[in-house]
Amino acid sequence: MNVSTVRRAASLAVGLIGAWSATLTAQVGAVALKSLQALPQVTASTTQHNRSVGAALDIRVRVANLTESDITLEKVEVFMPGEFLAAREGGSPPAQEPKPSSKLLHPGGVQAFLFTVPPGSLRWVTQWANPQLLAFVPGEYDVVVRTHFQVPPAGVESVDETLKVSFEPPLGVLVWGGVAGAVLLAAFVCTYRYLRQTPRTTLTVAILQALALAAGGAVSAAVAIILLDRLKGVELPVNVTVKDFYGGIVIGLFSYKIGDSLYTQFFGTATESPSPPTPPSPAPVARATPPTPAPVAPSTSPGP
Amino acid sequence: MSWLSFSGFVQLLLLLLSTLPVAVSAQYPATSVAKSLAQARQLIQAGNTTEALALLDKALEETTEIESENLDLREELLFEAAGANLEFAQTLSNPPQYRFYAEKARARLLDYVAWFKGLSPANVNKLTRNRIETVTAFLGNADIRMGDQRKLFEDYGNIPNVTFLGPDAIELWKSTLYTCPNWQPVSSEERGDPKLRRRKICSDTCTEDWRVYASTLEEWAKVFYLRATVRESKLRDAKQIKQIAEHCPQL
Repeated sequence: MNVSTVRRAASLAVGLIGAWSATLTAQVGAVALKSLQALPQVTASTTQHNRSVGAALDIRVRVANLTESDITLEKVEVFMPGEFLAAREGGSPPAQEPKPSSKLLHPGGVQAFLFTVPPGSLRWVTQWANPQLLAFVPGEYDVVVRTHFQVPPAGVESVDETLKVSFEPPLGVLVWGGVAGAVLLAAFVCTYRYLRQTPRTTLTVAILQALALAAGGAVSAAVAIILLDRLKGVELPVNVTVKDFYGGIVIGLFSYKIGDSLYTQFFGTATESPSPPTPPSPAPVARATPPTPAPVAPSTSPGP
Repeated sequence: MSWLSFSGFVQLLLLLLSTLPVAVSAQYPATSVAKSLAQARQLIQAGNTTEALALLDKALEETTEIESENLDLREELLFEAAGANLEFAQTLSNPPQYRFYAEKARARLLDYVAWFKGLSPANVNKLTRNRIETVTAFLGNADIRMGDQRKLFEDYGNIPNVTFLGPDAIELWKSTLYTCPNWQPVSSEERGDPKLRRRKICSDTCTEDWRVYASTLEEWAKVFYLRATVRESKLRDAKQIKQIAEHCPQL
């Protein structure tokens, strides 16, 4: 066997292997295509102007028959995510069925459905009483659109289409977080002062101080959260992004500093009362008197 | 009440009690089938045709036990099942799918014909509605929807009694024969052309079908209730077809 014969045999083998793999690919492709052809194409979309979990939402579903067979559409269902339903204390929108006359989708036929999720009955004042809403984590959730169909004479089948939708807690939840943070801070400061300050104040005074501090802090936190939500470039002493209830608590904990900062931004000078929550000075301890330093004449030159 | 009469009363009571379950069991399927039929109609109206067809199939199986007692129910069920299948076959556009339902409709229509054939004249008279002519017309439609015109010739040729055929079925048979052998539609104007008529009757694969048609038409025109002029016209047509068919080899 000479070299040219070996080369021919090798090239023939390569060619055969290539042809075999191409045939196999075509077969696999045909099988995959056939399985795809047996299903209707379902597309879902939404136009979301308000991402709040309590806002109204429209979900548009489009079912197209791109197969070569006639398809009977039984019903279309929309399943909202569990966290969404828990926060709103409601159910998914009811399933929709096409009209009897338009149940049969011929090849190329299209049916459109509109699901309206009404606004949740989330009152601003009572939002704090809904723990699921307070614990709602902002993010991208899956909305599942389930289409029940039948390719006669086969039985009823279903196909799921997942739609990614972003939800976030309503502004009221963030404000309630701020209030909770301010209350925590007031409780901390007043308890600390009550326990450590000498002479000790009466309990009534401590409670009144706590209430005043909580109210002032809550207002500061609420203003800061609303500004952060609506305005860009707001400068605060703490760099924080408020997205949920716990972010609101953080703002509430810094409500005094934030209050001072906001006051300065609004009116130019910071107010000195109420006093910042600095820890009280410890009680004087009896110790040896240090030597008195020699008096220094005051300098007349202006400071740097 | 004497002891003897009391014993007779007890025996009668026992006899009645023993027949009660039989009567109830005979009544139950009829009620169940009637309910299924009503449900199937509702489902068809709601657009759930395939579900309705499955329900009708199930009900048909149940009626085999009660057919002798509920002729009207059996007739209605057979007719509804066949009609629903055929109607669904007409609405579908995909050939394998509509052929499937047309075949089912054909099977049900043949069941109707076979059932009707088995009825005694007295039972036929008992029927509230006699729809055998509609059924034979539907049978031809089902054959055509199946895309198998030869089946139409076969089915109509095998109809056990020519009186089962109505004018619609006869007309459908004839118009389908005109499409033989290439199964292309022929307009009514073209049918008036004697040359085309000869050519169609003398097509190799169709001559025998024309002969069967002519014989049936002749028999049908003699027994079916027709006006005298119409009967004469039908008999003339049958005779003419036979003559043309006989002379075909010489053409």
